[in-house]
Amino acid sequence: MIYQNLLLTKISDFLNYNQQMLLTLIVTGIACSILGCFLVLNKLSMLTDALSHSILLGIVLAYFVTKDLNSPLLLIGAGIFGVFTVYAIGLLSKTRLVKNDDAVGIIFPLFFSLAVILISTFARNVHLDTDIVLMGQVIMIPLNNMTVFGVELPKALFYMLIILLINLIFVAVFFKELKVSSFDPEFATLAGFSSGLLFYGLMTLTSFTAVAAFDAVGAILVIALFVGPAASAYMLTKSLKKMLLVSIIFSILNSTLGFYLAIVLNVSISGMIAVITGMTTFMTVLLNRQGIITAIYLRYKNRKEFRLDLLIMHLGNHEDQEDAEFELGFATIKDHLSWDKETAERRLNRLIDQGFVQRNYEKKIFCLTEKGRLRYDMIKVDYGM
Amino acid sequence: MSKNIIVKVEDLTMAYHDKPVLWDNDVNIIENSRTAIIGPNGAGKSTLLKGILGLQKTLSGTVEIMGKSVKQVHKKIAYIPQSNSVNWDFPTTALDVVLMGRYVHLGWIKRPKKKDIETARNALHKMGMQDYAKRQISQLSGGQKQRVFIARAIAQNAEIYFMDEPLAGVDKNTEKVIIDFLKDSQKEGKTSIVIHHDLNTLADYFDHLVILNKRIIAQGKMSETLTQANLDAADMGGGFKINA
Amino acid sequence: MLSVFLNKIFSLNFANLLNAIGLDFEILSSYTFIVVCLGTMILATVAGMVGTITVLKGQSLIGDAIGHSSYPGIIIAFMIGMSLDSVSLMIGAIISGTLAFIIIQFIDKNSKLNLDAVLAVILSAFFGLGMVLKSFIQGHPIYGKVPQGGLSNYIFGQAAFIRTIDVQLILAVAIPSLLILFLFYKEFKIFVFDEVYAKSIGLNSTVMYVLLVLITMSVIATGLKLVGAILISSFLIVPGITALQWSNRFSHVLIIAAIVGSLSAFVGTYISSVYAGMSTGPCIIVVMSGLAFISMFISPKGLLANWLRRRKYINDLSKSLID
Repeated sequence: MIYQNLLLTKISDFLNYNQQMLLTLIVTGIACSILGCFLVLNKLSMLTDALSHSILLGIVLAYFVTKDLNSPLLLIGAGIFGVFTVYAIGLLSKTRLVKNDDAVGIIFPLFFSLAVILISTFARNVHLDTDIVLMGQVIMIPLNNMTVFGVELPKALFYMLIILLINLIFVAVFFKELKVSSFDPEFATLAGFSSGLLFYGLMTLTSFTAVAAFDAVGAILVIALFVGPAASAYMLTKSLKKMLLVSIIFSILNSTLGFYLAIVLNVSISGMIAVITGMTTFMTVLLNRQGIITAIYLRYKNRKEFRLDLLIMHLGNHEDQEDAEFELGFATIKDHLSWDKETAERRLNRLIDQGFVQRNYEKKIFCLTEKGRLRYDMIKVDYGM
Repeated sequence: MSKNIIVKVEDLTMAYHDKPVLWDNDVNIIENSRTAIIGPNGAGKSTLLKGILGLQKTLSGTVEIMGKSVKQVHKKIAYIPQSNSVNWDFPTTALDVVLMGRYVHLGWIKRPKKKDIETARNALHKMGMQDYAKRQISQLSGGQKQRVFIARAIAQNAEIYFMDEPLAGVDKNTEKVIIDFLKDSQKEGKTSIVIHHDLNTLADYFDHLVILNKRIIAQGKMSETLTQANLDAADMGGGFKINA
Repeated sequence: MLSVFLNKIFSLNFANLLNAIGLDFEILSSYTFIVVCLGTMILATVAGMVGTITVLKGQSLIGDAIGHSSYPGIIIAFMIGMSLDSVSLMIGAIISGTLAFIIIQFIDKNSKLNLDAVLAVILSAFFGLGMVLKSFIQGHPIYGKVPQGGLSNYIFGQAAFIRTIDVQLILAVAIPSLLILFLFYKEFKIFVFDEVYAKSIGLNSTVMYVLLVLITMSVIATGLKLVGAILISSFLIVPGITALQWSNRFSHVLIIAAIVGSLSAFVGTYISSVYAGMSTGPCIIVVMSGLAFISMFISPKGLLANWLRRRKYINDLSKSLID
C-alpha cells in the first residue's frame, strides 16, 4: 500500500470532491466558451442546440457497434455523428427547399426521437434516465477515476483537459483565419482561406467538445456553456482577443457561482449553472456600455434636448414668414406642433429661461433672441442641413 | 388644374430612436398632381411617407389627408412599400396578392366576393399581368412583382397613391407601364406621390416636386422647383446639370 | 370471376378489411388507443396549422426555445397548486413560455446579440431553472410527499397515459384556436405576407401578434403532456414545412399541414401501440419527418422535379446546339 502511494499521485489528496467537480466544470466551461465565441460571431449558436440533442443518437448508434458503455469509441462515434448532423443541416438548407432555421428545427428533433425510440426498443437493458441525458451527472464526476502518467484523476476532468488543449491549439494556430472568416467570410474566401474547411474544423471540435461535455454536464448546460459567456463577452468587447478572454472570465464566474449555489440549496448543479449563465448574460444586456439602460437614458436625454432644438428650429423657420402669427402665436403654437398646452409651455419656458427665446408682445408671438438665432444656425450645421 | 391641397403636412418632425430624421417639415401635396419626392440617401424620404401614413411615430406635427386624419381615410389611400418589406416565401399567387387590395373595403372577418375577384382580375389586366394570375409571387421577375403590387393598389380603388421607389430595379417596359398608369390615373382625377431617384426622367414623369434633405428644401411645380440652386441646396447638384 | 371477387369483398367485415391492409383491429378499437389517437391527432392538426404561420414568419427556432422554456412553469404551477392537475400545469406552462418569449423579444430588440444566441441562452436558462426547481422539490419535506412522478412526463411527453380529460383539454384549446385562424384568415394572410402594407390599410399589427402568440402558446402548453418540452416544436414546424413543398396557396398549405399532422399522429400512435416500449411522441415525429423528406424529394417543387427539369433543359440545349 505504501509503495503504491509513493508512485501514485492522487488528485483527491489535494482537492476534495466538491473542488474536483468545480475544477472539471471550469475546464469544461473554458473549453466550450473559446469555441463559443466563434459560434456566436458566425451566428451558429442554435447549432449547439441541434448538436447537443443529436449527440444522443450518435451515442446510441456507437453503442450498437461497441456494445460497451465505457468505451472511448462511444465518444468518438458520437463526435463524428455530431459533425454529420451539421453536414446534414447544411445539405438540407442548400437545397433551398427550406430555410436554414427550418433545417435545424427539422433535423435535431428527428435524431433525438430516433435515439429515444432505439433506446426504448433495442437497448432496454441499458438504463436511460432522461434526467441524466439532460442534466448529466456532475455528482458522479469524482467517483469515476482513471490513472494517467501516475496521476489518478476524474475521467471527465482528463477528457476535458485534452479537449481544452486541442481547442486552444486550434484557436491559436488558426487565429488569423478564424478572425477574418468570422468578420468577413467573403473576404476570407477571396483571400484564399477555405472557409468551408475552417467551418468544418470548427464544427468538428464543437461536436467533440459537446460530446465530452454532454457526458459530464448534460445536454442543456452544454448549450449555455457554449453560448452564454461568449454572448456576454461579445457585448462588452471590441477585439477578438479580449472577447475570448472575457468569455473565459464569465465562464469561470458562472460555473463557480452556480456550483456553490446549487450545493448550498441542494439542487441540480448543471441546472443552476445554466440559470446563472442566463442571468449574467441578461445583466450584461442591461448594463453594458451600449446596453439597454444606457440607451434608455440617452434616448430620454436626447429626446428632451432634441425637442428643445426642434422648437428653436420651428421658431427660426417661421419667424420671418407671413404665417408667423399662426405658427408661433402665443395661443396657437402648440397646435402646430401638436403638443398639449402644458408641454408646449414648459418647453417654451425652459428656452426662455435659457435665453434662447423671448415673447414678442407686439405681434403676440414667440421669437428667437440673438442667442437663439446663433443656436438655430448651429443646429442646422449639427444635423447637416 | 385645381389648386386644392389634398395632403397637408404641418411641422412634421420624426426621429428613428434618438436620431432625428425629419425636421419641422411643412409639405403640401396638390390634388390631382403627379408629385415626386427626391433627396439624397438618408434624407428621410421613406420616413416622410411612413409619417404621413401613420406607420411610424411622429414627434411633432399634424397630417391631414383630404381634410381628415389618416385613420379615417385608409380606404382612399394606397401604399406601395419598398419590396423588401414583403415575405417572398409566402405561398400566394399574383391574383391573390392583388385581391389583398380589396381587404381594406371588406373589414374584419368578411371574405372577398366574386365582385372583388373580378376587380382584382381587371387590375392585373391593366398592368398586363393577366397571364400570370396563377403564378407564385416569388417566381415573378422584379418588374413583374412591381406590376402586381401596382395592380393591388388599383384594386384598392384609392384616390391617392403613395409609392416608395416603384421604379427601383424594374425593366424599361415595366417603367413605362407604371408611368403610363400614373398619367392615366391623373386623368381620372387621382393623385400620386412617388419617391423617385432618377433626376434624368424626373421632369418627364412628374409635374410637381418635393426636394427633401431632412427638411424641405423646396416644393411646388416641377418647372419652378427643379433648379440647380435647389439641387445644390439638397446636396444633389454634383454631377447633374439642369439643361436650361 | 367478378362475382367471386365481389362476394369476397362483401363477405369481409370491417375488422377483416383492416386486417387485410395490415392494421390490427383489436388495437384500433381499444379504448386507450382511441383516446390517445384522438388527442395526438387533434393536437397535430391544430399545431400544424398554427405552426405554418410560425414557419412563414421565420420563427421556427423560437418555437423550440419556447417549448423548452415552458418547462419551469409546469414545476412552479405544481408547487403552487400541490397537484398534477392538467389545467393548472398548462397555465403555468403558458405563463413561463410567454415570459421567455417577451424576454427574447426584449433582448433581440435592445442588444446587438443575434437572435439565435438569445434563443440558445434563454432556452438553456429557463430549462435549467426547471431542472433546479424539480431537484428542489424532489428532496423537499413538504413537496416531497405529493406524488410528482408525472412531472417528468412533461419533458419527453407520455401520450400513452393521457385520459379523456386531457383530450377534452386539447379540444378546449384546439377549437378556439382554429376558430381564430378561420375567422381572421384574411388578416393573418396579409399580416404574414406584407406587414407594412397591412398596417397601411389600418390593420392593427399588435393585435395580430398577440393573437398569434396566444394561440401558439396554448398549443405548445397542451402539447407538453403528449410530446414533451423538447420535441413539441416539431409538431409546430414539420407539417408546415411539408405542406409548403406541395402548394403555392396559403389556404391549401394550411389544409395540407393539418392533414400531414393528423396522418402522422395516427400512424405514429398506431406504431407505438403495436410495438411495446416505443414512445408515442418520438414515433409521430419520425413519421412526420419522413413525410417531410419524401415531400422534399417528390413534390412538384422538389429535388426530383428539379433534377428532371434540369436534365430536360440540358437535353434541349444540346439538341438545339447540334441542330
